Amino acid sequence: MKAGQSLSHLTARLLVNLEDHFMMDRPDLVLAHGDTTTCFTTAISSFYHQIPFFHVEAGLRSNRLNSPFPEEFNRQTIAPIARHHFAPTELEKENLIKDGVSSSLITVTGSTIHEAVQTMISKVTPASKACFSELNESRPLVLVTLHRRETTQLLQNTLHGLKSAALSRPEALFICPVHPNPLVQEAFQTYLKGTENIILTEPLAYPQFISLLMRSQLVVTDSGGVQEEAAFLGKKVLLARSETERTDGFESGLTQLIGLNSESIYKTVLDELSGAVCTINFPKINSLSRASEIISNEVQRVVG
Amino acid sequence: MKKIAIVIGTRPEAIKMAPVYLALRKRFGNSVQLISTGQHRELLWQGT
Repeated sequence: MKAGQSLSHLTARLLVNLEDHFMMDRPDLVLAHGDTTTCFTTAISSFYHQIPFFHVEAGLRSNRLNSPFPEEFNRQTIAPIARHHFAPTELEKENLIKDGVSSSLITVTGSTIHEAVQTMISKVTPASKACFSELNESRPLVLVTLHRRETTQLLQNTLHGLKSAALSRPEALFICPVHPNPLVQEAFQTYLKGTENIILTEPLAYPQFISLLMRSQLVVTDSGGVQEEAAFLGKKVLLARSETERTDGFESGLTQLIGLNSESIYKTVLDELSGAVCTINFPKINSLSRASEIISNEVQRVVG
Repeated sequence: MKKIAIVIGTRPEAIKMAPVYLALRKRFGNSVQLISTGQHRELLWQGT
């Protein structure tokens, strides 16, 4: 991310870059994922250039245009442009149908992230494991990732809650890979730096992150992606946000929405650290989604 | 052969689209291209 880039500047830059590329080397079919500014601008550029656009991880909805911001707006804007929608589950398919998308244009695929995590687990070697000298076998590990734009103002509360929890439980180690967003960097530096059992680190390489996730007792996050990864690995997740469109981990009770209140975050983290380590086994490989194969089949049907 | 483009820009997108990219490459070979928008430039390198 360029330091301090605004959404407008980012959107404009990506639109122009994509157009330059499409003019120079026009694809016949474009695929993008989810609800980021990248996916949003890719859909718009594809539309302007009349190139069929396929949307992966389609159909997530909060039905509140401002939350998550700007992702919900992105999703709602991408949907009418997409020629085909790959929904992770039946729930997202239903959301799209409610928005007027024909069911013939929707394929339920499962989540590609399960395939990604499975591949990464097989690649985690002792050498690729994240190394922190403070982390020994017996020490409870809390993995923290917080970055959301609409919660930046509220990030302070979450960080206060975490700091209090860390001070109350010095034997636990809190590792925070910090998002490069300058506002997020500043908040973490201001509120958490100097606490002995809190480690602020750069974003980790994916195998390292997965190895830490596998090792962790508790995950505190506002990221839907981390929620998915942790739920897949059977980890207890405290979601520091006011709502979520993702259902991962809720059925099993391993994911809990804790809001953005300092006191509630402090209490919940302490409760979880006092409890027994709670994990379930991640699904066996044969029960995995074959999302990428299903998507390939649909692409083949179109491009021949 | 028709050209297929996958566009990514952030690390989560790279991670989540990696299985799709690999599956499409396997089936369609070099006609599949990966485009990075550079939204989060320094976070992209691990995903693929």
